[in-house]
Amino acid sequence: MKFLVAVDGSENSVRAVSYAVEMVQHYPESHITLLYVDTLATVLSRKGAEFPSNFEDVRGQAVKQALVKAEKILLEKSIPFKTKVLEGFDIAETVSEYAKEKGFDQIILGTRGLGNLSGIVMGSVSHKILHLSPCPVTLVK
Amino acid sequence: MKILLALDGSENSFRAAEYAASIMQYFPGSRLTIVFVDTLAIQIKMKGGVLPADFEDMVDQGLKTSLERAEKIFAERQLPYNIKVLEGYDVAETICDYAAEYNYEQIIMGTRGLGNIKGIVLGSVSHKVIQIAPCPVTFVK
Repeated sequence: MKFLVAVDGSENSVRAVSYAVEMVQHYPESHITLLYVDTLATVLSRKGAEFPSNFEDVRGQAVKQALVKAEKILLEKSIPFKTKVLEGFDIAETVSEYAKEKGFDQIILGTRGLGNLSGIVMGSVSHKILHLSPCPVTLVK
Repeated sequence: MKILLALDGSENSFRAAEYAASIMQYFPGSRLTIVFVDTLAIQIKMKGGVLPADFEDMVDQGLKTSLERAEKIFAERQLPYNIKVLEGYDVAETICDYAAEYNYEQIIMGTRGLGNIKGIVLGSVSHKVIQIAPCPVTFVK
């Protein structure tokens, strides 16, 4: 069983990681991949904005913040995992396509965390993932 | 794990039942309730309609067919289950209220893709469940 956990550093995504831990502890031969979708570069370039000179630092910080808590939980429980950072504009599409490409059996994500960045409709990312996903999707609040 | 399976008779909800059965095999001691929300009676009454004389038979027949098919999935694997039929107007609210009242740890349900009017309406059930569920929800297509 291959679990893909989409994280963004929010409290809800941390709870999604805890849920994934519970699953892998029960399922034999299961595996967790943490996925963070980095939208920073594509959002900036699509808006025609100039990249600040410290862009790479800012990006590095964002990635680190998104993953640090999730990785800590898994390390503390000695659960093997992979981490993947993908650049993308549309979080839902990026997550779903990656799940499809790599043959994941289940996507797990926190709601009310993802997608708040752009301040659009809450839960629109999770809703879109539900419709695009090739596999079952678990939403954790 | 205390699992609530929301059944609506759709193909996706039977796949959700298969998924629930697979989880139960790996979580020993899991308890499952198959819940079916009957919206027909309330919808007819709210619209000022009169229930046809054979209404009970109509509902029972539809219910029976769906439940039998779902039950088979669990009976074949010798997994325990309960059945609960709830009357309600709002499917999402009825499911989530019941899950909250009886402390379910996981809701499992089918979801349909967007693309037609029916899909949008059904999609709104999953959308609402995401917002108000008291526990993690797994959606199966």
